[in-house]
Amino acid sequence: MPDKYNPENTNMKNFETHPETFTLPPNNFCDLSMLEEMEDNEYLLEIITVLLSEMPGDIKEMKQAAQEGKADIVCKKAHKLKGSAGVIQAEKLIAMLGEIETIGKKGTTNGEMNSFIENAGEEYRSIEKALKIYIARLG
Amino acid sequence: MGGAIDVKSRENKGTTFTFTMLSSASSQTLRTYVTNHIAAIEGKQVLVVDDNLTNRCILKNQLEIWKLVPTLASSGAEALEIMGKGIQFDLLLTDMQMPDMDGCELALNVQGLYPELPVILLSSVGDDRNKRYEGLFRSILAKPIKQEMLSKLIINELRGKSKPANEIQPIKQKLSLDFAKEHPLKILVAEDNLVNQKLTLKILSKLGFDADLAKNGKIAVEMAAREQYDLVLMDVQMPEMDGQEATRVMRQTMEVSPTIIAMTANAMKEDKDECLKSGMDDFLSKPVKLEQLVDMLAKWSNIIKERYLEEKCA
Repeated sequence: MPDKYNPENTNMKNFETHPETFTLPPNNFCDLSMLEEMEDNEYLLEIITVLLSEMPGDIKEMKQAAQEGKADIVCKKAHKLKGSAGVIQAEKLIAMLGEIETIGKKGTTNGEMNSFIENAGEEYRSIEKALKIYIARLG
Repeated sequence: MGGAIDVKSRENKGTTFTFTMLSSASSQTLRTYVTNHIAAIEGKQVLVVDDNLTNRCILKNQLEIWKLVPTLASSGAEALEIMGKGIQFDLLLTDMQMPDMDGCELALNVQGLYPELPVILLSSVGDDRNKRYEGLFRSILAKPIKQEMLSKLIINELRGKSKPANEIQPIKQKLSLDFAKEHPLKILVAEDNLVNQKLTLKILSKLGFDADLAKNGKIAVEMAAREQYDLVLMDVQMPEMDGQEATRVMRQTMEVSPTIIAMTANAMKEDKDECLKSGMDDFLSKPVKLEQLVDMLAKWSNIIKERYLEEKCA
C-alpha cells in the first residue's frame, strides 16, 4: 500500500478523527513502483542500499561546493542526484535539484541556491527515513 | 510454522475443516496496472456518490492516487445538483444502498439527463435490485471493493471504448525474456550513475539482453571500437567524456557506428535537439521507464533489421 513509504503518516491519524480531511500520502517522498515492477526484492534492496550509501555523500559535496562558490560542481552533483532521485520518483527532491542545477548553470552560487540545497537535504532525510522503514519491512 | 488445524464432523450432517496460520505481511504490493495507464486517465472528473462518509473518503483518496479528480456527493439528490452546475464528469461511481434515492434511481435520472455518462455501481453482495435495470450500469462491483478490480474498470471506462480491456497489454507480458529473441540486439549502456546503471541493466536483463556497460563516454568509445554494437544507450552527462562528445567521436571515427539513444534527466525540447544535433538517433527521458525502453528497442530493432535487409539487397 502506498502509505508504507511515509514513516510519519499523520494522515492516517487524521483519518480516524477527521475523515473528510484525510489524504493518502502515496508519494509524499518517493514512489518505488517502477522498481517494484521488476518483482525482485533482492534487486530492490540493492538499489535502495546504493541510494542510501551514495546520496548523502553527494548532497554533502554539493553543499560544500556551493559554499566554495563552485557552481559547476554544484551543477554536476545536482544532476547526478536528480538521476538517482528519478529512480525512486522522488518528485519534490527532483524539482529542488532541478532548480539548483538551473541556478548552477548560470555560473552562480547564491542564497536562493543555498536555500534549495538546504531544502533538498531535508527532503532527502525524509526519503532516507522512509526507505529505511521500507527495507526493514522487506527484510 | 505454527497455527492449528481443526475438524468438526457430525454424522449424516457434514464436516467442517478449519485452519489458522501465521504469516508475515507480503512485501509486494498489488501490481498496480493503473500506474502504467495513468497518463491516459489523468485529470478525468469522477463523481462519487455514497452516503457513507468513510467510503467516500476512501474512494476519494484512491482516485486521487490515480490522478483523477473526484467530486463527492452524499446522496443522489446532491449528485444531481452538482451535475446541474455544469461540471463535465467523465464517470459516475455510485453506491447502491442510499436513503431517499438509491443507486438505481440515481442512474435512471442520470441516464435521462446525461446519457453519455458511464455509471459504475458499487453494490452489496446479495443485493440484486440492479438486475431489474439491465444496461443501466457499465459495471457492477460487489463490496468490499477490490482496488485492482476498480482500477481496471475505471481505466477501461476512461480510456474510452476504442480500447477495450483485452487490448491493453499488461506490463508483465512486455517483461519477457523472449523480447530479446524477437529483437536481437547487441547493446552497450554508457552510464556513470550507479543507480541508473543498475536500473537500466536490470530492465535489459529482464528482457533477455546481456548488455555491456561503459562508465563514461570515453570508455564507451573504446568499447564500441572493439565490439560491434547495434545500439548504445548513452547517458548525456558523464565524466571524462560526455554522451554528446562520445557520439561525435563514434560518428567521425567509425565506419559503421551503432544506433545511439540518448538517456537524460533533462527532458526539455532543446536538450533533445542538442542530442540529435550531436548525431544521436533518438532520445529517452530518465529514469528509464520499462515501457518506453521496450518501445524504443522494438522501434530501433525493426529499423536496424530493415537497414540490414536493404543493404543486403543492394
